[in-house]
Amino acid sequence: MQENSNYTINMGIAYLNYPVVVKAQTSSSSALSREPMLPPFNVLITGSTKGIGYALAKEFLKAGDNVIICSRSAERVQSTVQSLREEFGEQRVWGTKCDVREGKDVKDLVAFAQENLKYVDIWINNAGSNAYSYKPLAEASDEDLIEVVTTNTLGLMICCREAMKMMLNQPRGGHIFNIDGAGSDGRPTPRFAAYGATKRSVVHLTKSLQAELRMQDVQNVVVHNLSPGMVTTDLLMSGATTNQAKFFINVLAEPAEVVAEYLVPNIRSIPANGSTKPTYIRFLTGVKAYSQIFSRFAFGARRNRYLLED
Amino acid sequence: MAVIITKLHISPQSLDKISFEEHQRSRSLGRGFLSSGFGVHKKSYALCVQQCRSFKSKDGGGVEKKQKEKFEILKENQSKTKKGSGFRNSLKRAVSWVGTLPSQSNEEHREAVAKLEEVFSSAALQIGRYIVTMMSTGVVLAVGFQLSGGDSHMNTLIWYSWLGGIIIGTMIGANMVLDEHCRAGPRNVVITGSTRGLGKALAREFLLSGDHVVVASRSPESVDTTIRELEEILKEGMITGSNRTSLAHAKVVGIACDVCDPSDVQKLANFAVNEFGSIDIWINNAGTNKGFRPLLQFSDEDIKQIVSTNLVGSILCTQEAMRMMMNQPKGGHIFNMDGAGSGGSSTPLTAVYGSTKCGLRQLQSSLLKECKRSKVGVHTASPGMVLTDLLLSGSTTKNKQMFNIICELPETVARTLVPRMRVVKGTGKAINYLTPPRILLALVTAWLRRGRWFDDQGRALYAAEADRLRNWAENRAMFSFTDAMEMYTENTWVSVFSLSVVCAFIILSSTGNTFPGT
Repeated sequence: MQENSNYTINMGIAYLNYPVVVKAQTSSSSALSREPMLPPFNVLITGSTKGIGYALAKEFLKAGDNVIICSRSAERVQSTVQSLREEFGEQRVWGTKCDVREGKDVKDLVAFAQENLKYVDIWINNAGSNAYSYKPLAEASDEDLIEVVTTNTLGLMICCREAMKMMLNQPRGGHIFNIDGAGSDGRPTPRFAAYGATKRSVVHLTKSLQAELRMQDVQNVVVHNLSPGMVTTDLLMSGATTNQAKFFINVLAEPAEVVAEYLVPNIRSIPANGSTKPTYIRFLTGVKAYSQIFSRFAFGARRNRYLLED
Repeated sequence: MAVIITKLHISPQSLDKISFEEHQRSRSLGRGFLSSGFGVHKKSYALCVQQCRSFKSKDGGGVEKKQKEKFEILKENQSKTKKGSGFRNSLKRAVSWVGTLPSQSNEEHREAVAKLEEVFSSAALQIGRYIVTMMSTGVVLAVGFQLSGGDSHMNTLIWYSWLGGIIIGTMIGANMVLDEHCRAGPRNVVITGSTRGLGKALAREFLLSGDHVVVASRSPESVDTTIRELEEILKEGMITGSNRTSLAHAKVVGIACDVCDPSDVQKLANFAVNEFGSIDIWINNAGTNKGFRPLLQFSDEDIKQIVSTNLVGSILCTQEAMRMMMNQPKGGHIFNMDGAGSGGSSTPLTAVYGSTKCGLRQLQSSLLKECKRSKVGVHTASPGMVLTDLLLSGSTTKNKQMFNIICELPETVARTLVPRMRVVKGTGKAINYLTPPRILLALVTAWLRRGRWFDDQGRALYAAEADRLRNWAENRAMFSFTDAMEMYTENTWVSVFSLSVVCAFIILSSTGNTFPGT
């Protein structure tokens, strides 16, 4: 319900903004001539061989877009590209190995994208890790902590920088989406403190980048936040060890396909409308979460949906 | 003095209507202060003055007593020599006489005597304080009785107020004794990134409070030079400083440590434990920023360094410190440093730094939940804006004009933060330098603060670190007064509040009894 109203508001604002944008364009003649963004879009998703990234890729392909997938493991990329090509055709999907923590890898990814698609309209920073461990900080291993922080924060920052660099030189501009996670609203995340801290920093980075782009008067590159809520991927399920966690997973989590089905039309509507306003697309809104918790308590809905509760 | 003048000032008003006196007390207090330079009204009648004075003695009794007590505790040295010396000497003699009988070895004997001497001197000090305090209350009481002129009702009032004063005084005194107790004894402190800027200032301040400090930084050379400098300062402090006894325990050691390397962090923790036995306070101060510019202009290496120092480093250090402290019987306290972006507001041009600091805040709240039942306290410390390389790298002239208003030297900030860090209790405390009153003060005096650190061209006007430190020993005494005021504000407000409640209660009850009609 809330999302719908958001959507109409966005459309309205886009409509209002349009003449202003045009004026800005004509006044700054030195800027690249701007082309309207029309579907099919070129989409790049990091960490997209499994989980929510994979589901998003599939959904974009279904909507008729071209997709570049990437991940740390070359074999996984290979097999994913193969299966997607079988389903959606040869010239729709490409894949390459990319470790988002390495600046060189990300630069190669950009080159790969430009080579195959010439430009990218939508860049989704999805790669994230929790090292699949849920432990108090004192018990967590050093390697896990370093992996979490470097993937979620460092990787995201490097990806954002490269994506912005590329999109600023594209006549069509572009949209960057950063995926948030538990902790991004500032609520404490015991047992995965490092993950929560990195996700909070993701939201903050988005905010700062938006402010930076505003300062530089950039109109055609926009950074957004994207909140998939709780998704029944390995990342979440590996933490389903306590009763409380099981309860919330059963009540609030959704399979990746369901989430992607909701998110992709929302993401696509932004470039389609020519909107240049930063947004925060949420799958699991507060109202939705509370109503689901309420219905669980009132009618026992969603009990033992994914996991057996005691 | 002001109180007495106030009363005298009231007296002509209350000539006709004595019943109003109590009601007007509060209002005329202010007036009394205003007209205190004015002189005393001479027409006041003896009877009236006497009545008023009796109230004064009750009212002022508490205040006076409190002041006396504070005064006395501040002047502990004098009372120690006065009360303690004779008593102590006789005891010492007695003990030494007893000690010679079992023919112990000389060394042991001397040590035992020294220990006993210490115990006795502190006991004598407390007893002396107690006697002086009670005597002073007795004097106030006697004056009160004298002034009441044998009125039994007034006498009860005086007894009440005396009791109230004793209770409040005991509370304040107990608080002070406890505080003193908390403050005593060296802490073992680990500070990361402490060879420059705020970290160094913190280390110095801890050291001068008589603590054991572990200095850590990436480069071994700068650790060495920092240790040498700090030892130099310590030596100077021992010669010139006032509290030589506490400085005798102070010690500084150091080790090179890259906070984003887990093995280095482990080494640091083990080193600290080997040197000092335990870690009481761990401060994650290491942080870096790499200048102010848009994200596009940051290189891979810059981003990597910022993230790994600020976020990875803090997480690893916190983890290691928690592991160590959980095994210590006394637990410990971990401080993470706040920075721009901690509050969640956007930080353009320092996007990377801001988001790491924001992430740290989240880490703090998660750790608070995880450490709920353990002995480890996780806290944040916010230094506000400090004139260090981190802030000044790449700042413009315009920025510097703003810095004039709100920035402080690292030494000033450390001087405020360290005493509070030393006595922190519990978990989840936020120790901030830029508190709302300070910000307000800065904004109000903004006009005076122009050109405080930088002139119009943005050139630095403040002395270099070495020069500042040279003048530091003298400045220290002056500054400690304001810091003491800062630290005691809370206690003072509590005591003033309770005092006023007691006074109000007495006044109201006396009104009801004396003048049933009103």
